Amino acid sequence: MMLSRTAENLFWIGRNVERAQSICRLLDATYQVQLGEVPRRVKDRPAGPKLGPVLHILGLPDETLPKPGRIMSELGRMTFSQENEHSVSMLLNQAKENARASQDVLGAEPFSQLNRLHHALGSRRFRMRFRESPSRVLNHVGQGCLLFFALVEDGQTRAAPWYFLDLGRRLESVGMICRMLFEALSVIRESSTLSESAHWNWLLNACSARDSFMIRHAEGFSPVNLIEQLLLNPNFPHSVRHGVARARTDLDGIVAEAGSDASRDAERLIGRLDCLLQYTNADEVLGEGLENILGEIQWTCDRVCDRLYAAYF
Amino acid sequence: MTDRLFPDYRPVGFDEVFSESDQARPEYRSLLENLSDVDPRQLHRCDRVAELIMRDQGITFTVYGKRQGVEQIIPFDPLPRLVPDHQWRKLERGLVQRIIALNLFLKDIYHARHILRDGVISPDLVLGSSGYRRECVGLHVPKDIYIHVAGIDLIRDRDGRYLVLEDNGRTPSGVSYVLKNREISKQALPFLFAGYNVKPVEDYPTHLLEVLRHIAPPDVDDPKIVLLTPGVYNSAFYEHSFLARRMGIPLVEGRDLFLDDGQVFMRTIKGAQRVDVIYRRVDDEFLDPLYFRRDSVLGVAGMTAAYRTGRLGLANAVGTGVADDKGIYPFVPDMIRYYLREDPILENVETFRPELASHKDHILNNLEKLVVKAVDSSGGYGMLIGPASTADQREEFARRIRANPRGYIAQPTISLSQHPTLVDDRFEPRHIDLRPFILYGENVKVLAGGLTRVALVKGSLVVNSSQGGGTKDTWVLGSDWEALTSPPPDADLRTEARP
Repeated sequence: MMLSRTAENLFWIGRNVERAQSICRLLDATYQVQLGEVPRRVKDRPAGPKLGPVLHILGLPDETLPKPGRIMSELGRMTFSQENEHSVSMLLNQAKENARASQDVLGAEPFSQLNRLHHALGSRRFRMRFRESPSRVLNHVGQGCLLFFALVEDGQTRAAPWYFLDLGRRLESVGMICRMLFEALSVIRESSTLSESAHWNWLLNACSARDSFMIRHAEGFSPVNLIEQLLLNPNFPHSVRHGVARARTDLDGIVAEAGSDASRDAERLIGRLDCLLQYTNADEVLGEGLENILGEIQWTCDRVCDRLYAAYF
Repeated sequence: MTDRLFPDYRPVGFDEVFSESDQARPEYRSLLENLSDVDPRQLHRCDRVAELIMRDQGITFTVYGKRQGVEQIIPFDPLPRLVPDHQWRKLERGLVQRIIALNLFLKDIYHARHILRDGVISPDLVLGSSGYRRECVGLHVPKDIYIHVAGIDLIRDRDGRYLVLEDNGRTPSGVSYVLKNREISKQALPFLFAGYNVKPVEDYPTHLLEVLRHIAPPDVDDPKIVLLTPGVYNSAFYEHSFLARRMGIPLVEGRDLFLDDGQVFMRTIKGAQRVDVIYRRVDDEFLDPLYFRRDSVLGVAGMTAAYRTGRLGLANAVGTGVADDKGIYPFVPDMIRYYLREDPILENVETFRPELASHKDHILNNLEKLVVKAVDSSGGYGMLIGPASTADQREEFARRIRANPRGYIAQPTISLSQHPTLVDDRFEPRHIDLRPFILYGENVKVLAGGLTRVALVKGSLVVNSSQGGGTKDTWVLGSDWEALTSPPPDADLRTEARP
């Protein structure tokens, strides 16, 4: 007997914490590249060359591109800003407020974890530490987000509250990986040799996929390998297919508990997408156009959200 | 051995731990023994742990005023307040007696009004109270219980006598701190428990849920119970969330509820679900914009109709604010005699009412010695503490009293009892009070403990958290504690000799 407001809160907690975690990884990967080799695609941007792809991935408009030479302050702004609603701090603050209002369902420990992150991000000590080493802070926050999910996983019965939170997380994750792949798309098109390993390391680091990719594809980078790992691998937690399959399971759980016509429509959409990803392969994806598939995935995720709103929120 | 922690400890008035001969009271001996090996820095670390626990868990209180809406931690003092079993049993009897009388009073004034007709209390006083709800006249509430949850504030005077300072019968808050303080004590200060048998407080949510089930409409087998909160910006939101979680009931806001065909429903993922009982933490005036304040968005339009027809149980009932009224408070001992034909077990603080000409003169001539309170205020607001006031403040209160004598009461400034409280690296005496919580369902239960509030500013008598007060864990000792600690030959038994 979960309140609609609570269901919506949990869905957005999942989305916002996942997004905050993804941004931490993305910013850290970008910072690492900045310290060493600058990828060609990034270098080519006319303004704010270092953070351009990041802003695109986050769906932010070009006007927000930083001035050249301000990468550190931009990284800081995207981490700590209280004005920028896409900053890590604001996303976690939003998640914390939603968790506060839903603590009766979410539980005390997960809320405390978000509260700890919120206080840490507001502290002077943390900002000073960021100036010394952005990676250290971004890793700390990213791992803090993972701890939040672990606490939820550990303490929640697999029932509607869990499914709504996890569904938000998975839809956000799928959208984020699609946008990252989209950003890398032109390079995949241009390059047959994929010699610029810094770029691929950036992409894989931003998806927490580098080590698992190297274990599976020791032969090195290729468009096919990347698509298999980030789009089609059913067993890798940061692949699109894994996210879609989890979202499908979550929706099944919700519909079993509180089904409606609108929710069954969402179930149908996500089920169809899951099947598509199950029964295709990387060559087919490249043949049909990665851009088209990514577009279809994002379109489907948007429609699923619409149906969720119609059915439950 | 504890000299390091109590250097120059000089209490004024009644001290909870030390007798006038500077001997530790029997119940505190083990506690002081447990502290003997403790380094002050260790206590500080405990203090810090407690603060971190509270901050991380969002155990905060919103303070209004200059720092509008600022969330603050209520400071937790590590040294618990101890109440021996024999003292507690007497308090318990007194509290049960008082809450029964207050409920009988509320039923009476909304129905037959015997107490008004018999001239025990003036009708003007009752019917003119801001907490009196005309809409509740003739309304039969489930099981005739009005105040299901009460918090009655007690103090100890110079002689250690427990006195009732005020009754809170609307939406008393603070019980979550009682439970949390115990958790924090166990986490941060486990060594203090050695040698004690402390009565548990953790079962409060279970008992509260029983009370809520008790007032469900009679034809409902499995009542749907919710806790109604004004929302996350309410100063006690943490408590609302905590209690809902511990009882396993939904925490709802007004916008989650609606009325359909005389029944309250909530919006859930399964569509509209019936609601049978509401533990509301929203004041009367905001409960229903159709009956009370029209601009309220915190309540549910039409809820009162469902309540009137018996399709909804509400805790506390609507209209209990009249029993909270500080203008009614002086008459509670009379109510006890009138309804129960018993003498009050717990006495009131002497109270002057400006409505009476002789009292008014006395108040106006002695403002610098008295505490003046607005009858419908709470949280330490709308109060003048004479000895700590300025001439301008006294003049302002004199003007207010002359303009609205019904709106104020005055009491002698009572030096509340003191308790050692950690200040820097030592214990210093600070004034405290006690708010026990009483549940009234199938029977009356008093939570074995209560919220001990402590005025952290030296010499201050204001213990309210909204005014910078802190809290202590309160241990009611099991009946066998005396066997665990050997009473000294010169034990101070003065308080036990008192009625």
